[in-house]
Amino acid sequence: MMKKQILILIFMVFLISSCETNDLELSNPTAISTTTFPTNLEELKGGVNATYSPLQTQGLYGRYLFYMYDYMGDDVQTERGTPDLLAFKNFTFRASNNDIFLYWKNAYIGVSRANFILDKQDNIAALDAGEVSQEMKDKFIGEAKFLRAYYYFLLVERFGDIPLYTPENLDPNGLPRTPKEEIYQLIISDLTDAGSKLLLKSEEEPGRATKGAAYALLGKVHLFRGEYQEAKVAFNKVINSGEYTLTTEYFDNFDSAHENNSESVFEVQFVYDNGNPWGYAGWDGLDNGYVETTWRSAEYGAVGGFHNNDPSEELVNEFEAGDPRLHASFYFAGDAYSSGTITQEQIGVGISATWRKYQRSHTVSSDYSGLSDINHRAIRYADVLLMAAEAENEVGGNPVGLLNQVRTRAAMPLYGSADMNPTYPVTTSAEIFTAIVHERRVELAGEQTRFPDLLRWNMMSIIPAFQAGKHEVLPIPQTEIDTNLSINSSDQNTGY
Amino acid sequence: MKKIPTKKSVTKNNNYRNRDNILAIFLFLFFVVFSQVYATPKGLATQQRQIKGVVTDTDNIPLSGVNVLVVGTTIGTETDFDGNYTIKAKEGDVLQFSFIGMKTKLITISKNNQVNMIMEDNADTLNEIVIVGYGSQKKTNVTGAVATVSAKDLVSAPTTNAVEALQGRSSGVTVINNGSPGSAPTIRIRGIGTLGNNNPIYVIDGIVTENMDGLSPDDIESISVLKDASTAAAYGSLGANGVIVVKTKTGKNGKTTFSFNSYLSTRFKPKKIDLLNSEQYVSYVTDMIRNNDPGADLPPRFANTNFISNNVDYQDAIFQQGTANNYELSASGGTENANFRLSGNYLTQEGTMLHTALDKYAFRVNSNFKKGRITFGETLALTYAEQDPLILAFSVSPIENAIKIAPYLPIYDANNVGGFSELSATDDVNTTRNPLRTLNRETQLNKNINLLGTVYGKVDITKNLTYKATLGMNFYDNKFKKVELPYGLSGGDPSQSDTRISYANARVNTITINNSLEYTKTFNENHNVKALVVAEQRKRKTTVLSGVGTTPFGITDLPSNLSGGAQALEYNVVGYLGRINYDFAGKYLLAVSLRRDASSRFGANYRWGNFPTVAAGWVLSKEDFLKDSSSMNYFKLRASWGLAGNDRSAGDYAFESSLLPNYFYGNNSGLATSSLPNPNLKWEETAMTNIGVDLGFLSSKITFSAEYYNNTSNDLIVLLPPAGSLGVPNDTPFNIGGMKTDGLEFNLGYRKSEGEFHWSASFNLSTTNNEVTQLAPNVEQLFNGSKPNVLASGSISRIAEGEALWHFYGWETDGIFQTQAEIDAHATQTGAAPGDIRFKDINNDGVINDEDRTVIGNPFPNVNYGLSLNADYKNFDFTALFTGVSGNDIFNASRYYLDGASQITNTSTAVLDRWTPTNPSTTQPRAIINDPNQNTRVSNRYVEDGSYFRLKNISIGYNMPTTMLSNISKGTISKLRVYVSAQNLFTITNYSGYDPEIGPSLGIASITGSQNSEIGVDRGQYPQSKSLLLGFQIKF
Repeated sequence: MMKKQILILIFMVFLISSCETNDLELSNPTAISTTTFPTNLEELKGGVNATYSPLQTQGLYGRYLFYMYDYMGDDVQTERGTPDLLAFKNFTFRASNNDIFLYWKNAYIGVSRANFILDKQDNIAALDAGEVSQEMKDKFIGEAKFLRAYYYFLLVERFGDIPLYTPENLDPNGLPRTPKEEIYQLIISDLTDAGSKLLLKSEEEPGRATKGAAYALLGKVHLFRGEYQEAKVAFNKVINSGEYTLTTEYFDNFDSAHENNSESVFEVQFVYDNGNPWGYAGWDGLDNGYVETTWRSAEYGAVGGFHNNDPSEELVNEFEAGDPRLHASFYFAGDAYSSGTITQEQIGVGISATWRKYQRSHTVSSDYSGLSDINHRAIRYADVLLMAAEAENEVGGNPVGLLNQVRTRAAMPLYGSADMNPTYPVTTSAEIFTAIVHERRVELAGEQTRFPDLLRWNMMSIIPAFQAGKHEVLPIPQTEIDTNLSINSSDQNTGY
Repeated sequence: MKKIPTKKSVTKNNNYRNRDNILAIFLFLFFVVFSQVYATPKGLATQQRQIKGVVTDTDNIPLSGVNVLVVGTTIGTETDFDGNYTIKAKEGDVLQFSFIGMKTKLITISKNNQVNMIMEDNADTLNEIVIVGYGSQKKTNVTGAVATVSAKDLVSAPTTNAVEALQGRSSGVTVINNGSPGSAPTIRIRGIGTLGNNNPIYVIDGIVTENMDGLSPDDIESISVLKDASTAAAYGSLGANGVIVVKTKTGKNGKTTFSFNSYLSTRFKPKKIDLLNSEQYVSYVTDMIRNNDPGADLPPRFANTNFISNNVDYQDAIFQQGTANNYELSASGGTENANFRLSGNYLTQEGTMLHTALDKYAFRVNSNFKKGRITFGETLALTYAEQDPLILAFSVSPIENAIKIAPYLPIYDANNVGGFSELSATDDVNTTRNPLRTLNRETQLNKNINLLGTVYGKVDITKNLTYKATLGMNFYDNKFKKVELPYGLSGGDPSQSDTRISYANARVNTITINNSLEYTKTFNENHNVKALVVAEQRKRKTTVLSGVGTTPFGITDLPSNLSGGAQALEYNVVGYLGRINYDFAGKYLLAVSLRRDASSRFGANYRWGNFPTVAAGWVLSKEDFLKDSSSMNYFKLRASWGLAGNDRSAGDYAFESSLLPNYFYGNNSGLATSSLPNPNLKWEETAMTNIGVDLGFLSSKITFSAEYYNNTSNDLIVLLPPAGSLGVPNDTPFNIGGMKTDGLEFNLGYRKSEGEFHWSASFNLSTTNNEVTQLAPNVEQLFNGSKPNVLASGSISRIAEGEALWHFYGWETDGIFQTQAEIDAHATQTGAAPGDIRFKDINNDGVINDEDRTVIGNPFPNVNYGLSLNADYKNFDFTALFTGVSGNDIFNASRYYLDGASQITNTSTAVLDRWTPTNPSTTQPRAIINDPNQNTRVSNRYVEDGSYFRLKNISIGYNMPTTMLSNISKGTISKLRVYVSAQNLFTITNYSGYDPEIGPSLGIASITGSQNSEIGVDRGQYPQSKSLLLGFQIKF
């Protein structure tokens, strides 16, 4: 009797203490572990893919980046747009401007994702060589390095000194601002390393970073820093690779039918996701990377778009008579678009032209409907040639041949030829510089190059609202100051 | 000399000692368990014989289901339908007769084999058995804070949701109702203690659940609300917000009884607010536009005012007379060894607003089987509900649209898609959507299946030691489908050409396994010990599927092109509880418990939490010096302290970071983290102190109790955005908040019988204050829906250290500028003109800006009270319940458009007295579009006193006399009661809106992810209204 009871009791105590505590070790069943990443090629590729997706966000090529370059140059006229957007044109932006914060935050999301990949180099190295070859492993690391450099360049160019995060230096409370020179050194070393690891464009899937993209960006960074010899070396690697040619049709660079063409060096991909142009579940927030469409067409467009950016009269007048790029870049009253003829009413009173570049009205009835899936050609070969020409000019070489490659494609008279417009002689280095300034403005109109060009050429004084000593950089976003424990208001850029 | 260092070392080692004490408690527990095994009874007494008898009430009516127990043994039985019982006992044994609502009686067996008993109504509720966590207790022995509501209270005033029935019944329990059929009221126990999830948990027949919406009030036998640590912390990690313990009815020993209850009720339309008629509207809008610009164009519609005689009462049109019909059938019965109860319930309800309704079907089977030492039983409840909820159109309540819409707009227009009129954005300028169209063409249906089942086995290992195992399952399936049909002006604004459909399906399955050992023994007559050990685990799995789709083809069910997402979540908890209740002769009471819980929501280092409690009581009335007091029959002092936890403000997996496949690049899938992990995430913890006194006078004719409580919460979870440069999109949870809640609670009861007239009254009152004691180190303030420190000037609710949670924050008004000279004399206020509101320069810097905002209101009442009256005379019974709150503020956001006078919408007639050069109003500013002075900024202009006193319920019933019943029905019908009752018959309040009970905010997003963030802000929530109810209860 007693024994039986003891047995029962022991059994009960056993039952009581039999709760399984290992059930408490739960991980998200619909997610992949960060600790073991990557366990295979697909995971590795997925992690790198997600490092590209911040390019598509609203702060960057999804929307606001365009304004933050184009509005601050002299190629635009408008009184429309939200107060936060008009602030870029009027140089009245403040630290509280939310578009600046989105640009900052989305670029830093890119940095953090690149750092995540670079932090996992040991795991990547440990992947079975039969599944992922050493060449592929290097290539993915090269992509992460290229993208980290790309995002840091977007940041350092616009904000100056910024927090420098690397896998070795991550603080969850936020890091203080680092002198911009250190940022540039990281960018240069990342791009140099990426250039040696990445694949050639002909070997790579469209849309991904390549050797050519890395050297083009490296050249651009050196050029912007006035390191012309280094710039020239980098650009020559692109030019001599034989991977790039200018397209026959200039406009092939701005539509969805000719994406990732021979002129494309680095191109931000936009697609209609699963047939739903509005992206996943309708309106998506700011940072998730679900949406793969851009507002570029809707924002600038006059045909069913917001009509927030009209080309300035100076820009339109900059084109030489008969330049076919004029009607490729802009619609004028009477020009045909997909659904008829553009009217002056659509363009607006007192405005001579509206954008055609990157506009959907080229193929569909409205710039707006379904947003835009036109890839953004962030670096194209024509730009590389013009930058190479500039570097060549600065080191005392003869860049006219480079310039004339661009002229030839445009079917315009060549610099230095008899039928060339006498306004642009190319006998001296200074004259060549003037020709480059002209050619860049025309060839790259509305491609976010004019403002940084004017800035590095010290020509911003032509814009009255620009205050030297202040507007070279944007303010550090107020939200960053509020949330980063290592940055406070006294660390703000001068004048803000 | 050496004594001093020794002492020091003792104090130093206190921490270790505490741990030793806890260990000692467990050792003691196991010691008593084992000692019991060895101390098995030596054999059964030999002189036992059959004792029989009849138990009746004072009217000599037999009572069935009375518990009869031989004191000190497990021998017990229940009386049958005719009040008969038989039990084995021996001479000198004491029989205990107990029955809910009656005094427990004791009688010592003499030589007589026939022992009859007359039970008396329980004038003194002290011997009531109170259900607490993992067991029950005599009320006299309770050392913590427990409020109880009996089945009688639940049924006397029928409600559609059991939570509603708790309103006004007990101090410290606040219920805020809303008028929406099928939407549960908000319940708070002792105010608010966290920035996150403040809902209490529910324990239904031993199983923890998140709500009791599936329960039919008729199936409930009793509800206990555990308010302090010594009671609630038995649920450790879930106890911090209080615990509501529900026991459902089981069958009673005796003949099978059927009971059928039904009621029909009518809900009347809520009150109306006086609005402008078409003529007034046109003149008001004209004035408003011209004040801004004398030459401005008027809405083109005004060019021809032949519509001026149209006056549509949209308030009248969106409301209807609501109905509720309830049918409840149950059968119960049993024998000594088995009992059962099964019930079915159908409730159909139509709300007072069009297209709001609820249909609910509930089924329940409870049964228990006994053989020897083993008891085995189950509960099984299945509920299916279809709810047509209140839905918002573009985040705007239909009530708001009914007020704002131009009164001249006819409801219908056959030329429009869908047949409803709309205001044209160009012709009418007023952009309000037609609320009749949104109510008819934007519909939502929520289908819920809720299955709650338990099986338990209980073994009396010895007469003192019981083992119990319970297995519970709670399955919940919610389907949501919203259909927005096309509408509007063909090709015009507003319009929608496609049908939009959104769909979601959430499934939650929770398995609970619970094992417990309970040991009860009296040592040396007076030392009563009850010891309990429990091991429990809970596993929950949630899956969610959702999608949206649009179709131009008129498909109104799920279209095949639905695109969507999915989510799967798991959440497991393991817990152990040890508890010892000790009392010496019912005089000195002590309760000690320790709960140790682990939650999968936290990382390995912070997964476990310890939740100790201690409570003591002293029943002074049992002391010699008070024992003979003629007036005071009961006097108890009690105190408790303990820690309770909360892991429900934390999300799943927040402690780790993982890669989600939610990112794409050029149609390639990507993997990335969306948030920073917080591996140090841990329990929210609340330290609760409770001190109480209970008094009974004149044989408990008068009872009084008072309590003081003080809850201090720490490590509260606040979601903070990481530094933007860290590059993670989502906010991270941190344990950084602190809150303090304290208050007083009083309960006063009185009961009296004079012949056949019995009446009783009970009054309860509680005060509560809450204060945020700590926010994040670098965060001064948090505004609703905004990032920390961002001075969101449109936000009403704010958190800041030293203030009540979610207080209202804005500007203070100071009358109306009558002249330009007054404006010039005042601090710089941009845009001000005569007729505009003067705002106070709070910081005296000579300019009115964001910095001049201040605390302008507190949404929490200082005082909640309830008064219930019960009386019966002969066959009539009467009950009334008054409830009220005092001292809270309501931010009447509806007044932005009711008297804001800055937008082209219809408004209340208050604007007829607006300031004009000829009518120098001092209360209502001028009408002007664009609001240059920001007269409508968040200010105390909209803050109103939210106090109210309401006759919540009044009922009168008639019981057909038993003799008449048995004559008519030839003994088949044992009870027939008909009753009539009215709800919300009158409300005394100064609040100008529809209803001073402001339901939960209408889905406004919040920074803490909870719905708390806008408390007491009226944005056109569904109001309650008066209702009249007719019902009957029949037993046969």
